[in-house]
Amino acid sequence: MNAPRDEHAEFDELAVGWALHALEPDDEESFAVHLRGCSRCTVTVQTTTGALTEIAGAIPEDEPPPGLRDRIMGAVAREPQETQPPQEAQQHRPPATPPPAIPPAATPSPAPGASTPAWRRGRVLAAAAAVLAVVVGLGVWNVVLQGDRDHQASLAQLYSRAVHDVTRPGVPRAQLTTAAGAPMATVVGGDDKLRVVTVRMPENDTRTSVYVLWGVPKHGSPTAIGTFDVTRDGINDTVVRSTNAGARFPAYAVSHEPGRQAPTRPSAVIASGTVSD
Amino acid sequence: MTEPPAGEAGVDDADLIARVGAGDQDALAVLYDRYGRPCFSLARRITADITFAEDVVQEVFLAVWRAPGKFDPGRGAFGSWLLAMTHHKAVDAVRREETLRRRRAESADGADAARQHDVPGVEDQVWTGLRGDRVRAALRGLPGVQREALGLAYFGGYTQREVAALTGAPLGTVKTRMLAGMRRLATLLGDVADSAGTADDEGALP
Repeated sequence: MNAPRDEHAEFDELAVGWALHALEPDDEESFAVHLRGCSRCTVTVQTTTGALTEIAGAIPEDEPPPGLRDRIMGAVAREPQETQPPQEAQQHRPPATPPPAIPPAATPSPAPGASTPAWRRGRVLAAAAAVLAVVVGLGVWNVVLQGDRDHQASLAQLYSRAVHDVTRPGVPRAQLTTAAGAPMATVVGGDDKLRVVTVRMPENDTRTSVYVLWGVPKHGSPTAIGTFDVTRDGINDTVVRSTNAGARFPAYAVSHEPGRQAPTRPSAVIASGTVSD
Repeated sequence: MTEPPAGEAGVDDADLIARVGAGDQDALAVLYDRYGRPCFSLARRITADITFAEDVVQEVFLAVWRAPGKFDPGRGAFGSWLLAMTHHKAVDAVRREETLRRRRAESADGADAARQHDVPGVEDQVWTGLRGDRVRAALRGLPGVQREALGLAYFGGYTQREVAALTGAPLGTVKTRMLAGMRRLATLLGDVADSAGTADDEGALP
């Protein structure tokens, strides 16, 4: 291309690829992080999606097979609904405005009186199953794209160890999800050391950026607990040492920040969630 | 955007979604009656297979049933959201089914084969078969290489890297073509005169 490119041109191209669902997995993951904090890319994605929808709506229509409606309604009758409150739109429909400092927690708080050991275990296993679904998807992807079975095995091993910690009774934990409800991380513990298990969180450039774990109080501003890096594809299992005397919080969030220090307030929040124990 | 058929007592989509959220299966059936056909048409166009298309549409409507709250009426029409989800799931289905295509796209022979299989399909069955003068005119207003890149991605389900392999263009060029093509398309669909006419593929971007 001969025209001069501004610094954002590469992201403009990724934004169109994102709306087309045509990015490579690595680009898709890293662009997802960028998109959450970029209003220009949000507009590009929405404009592209709008144009594509118009084209999709104009293609010659085929009549669906007559049995499809009954098949779908039969499946619906057998399918339980999720009991979560309305969330942000799906990942490919990013917020029209930059995300708030701390998005509403996507994980519902436990119902009063529901905190029995059986309930806890069921809830944790459900969360583990959600994470496993992501991991399995990733594993398949890796096999398809790279044929990397060793990598998949090491992911499974990491996941297994992480789940073991998560399911240990009596340890506070919070599953952090994106605004769209996709599991991104689990925070385990709550004193001076917290374990953060991330799933498919894009690797950060350890020279120029860092992930920050935030404690979110019931009232007031979030507090930076510590920083961590994501240095491998798939699952990362890291320990974040609390810089604030091990204060406990009812919710946690993770943000991706430029530089290597935690700012006073989070900028690009990746995921958040409430504590259950 | 395809309008839902008239009837159904004029109940709007947002009300139906709210009813779906309350567990009303009949409300989902109404949404299927409104949007099942365009969703199936798009899924079939992408998967080129009736059975796969049926599976995609079922997946889409089950997703709506499971979590209707994921639709945010403040961010656009329900039909747009549904078609975007249909496209995404259809492309995923194609990629799951045709994993070998990724490897095939790496080789020149495979590129030729894929080009013969996909591009004529896009050109003949989609671009020239569109209803709606505005959409057809907008697509005709794109340089061929931009239309080809966008068609391979949107209807063929190919990634940018695969489109580069299939068309023999550098990846950077493909990305630029897609961006320029979409900007141009958005402008043309917006009924804004494009003074550049049929600009060069790598022409200056706004």
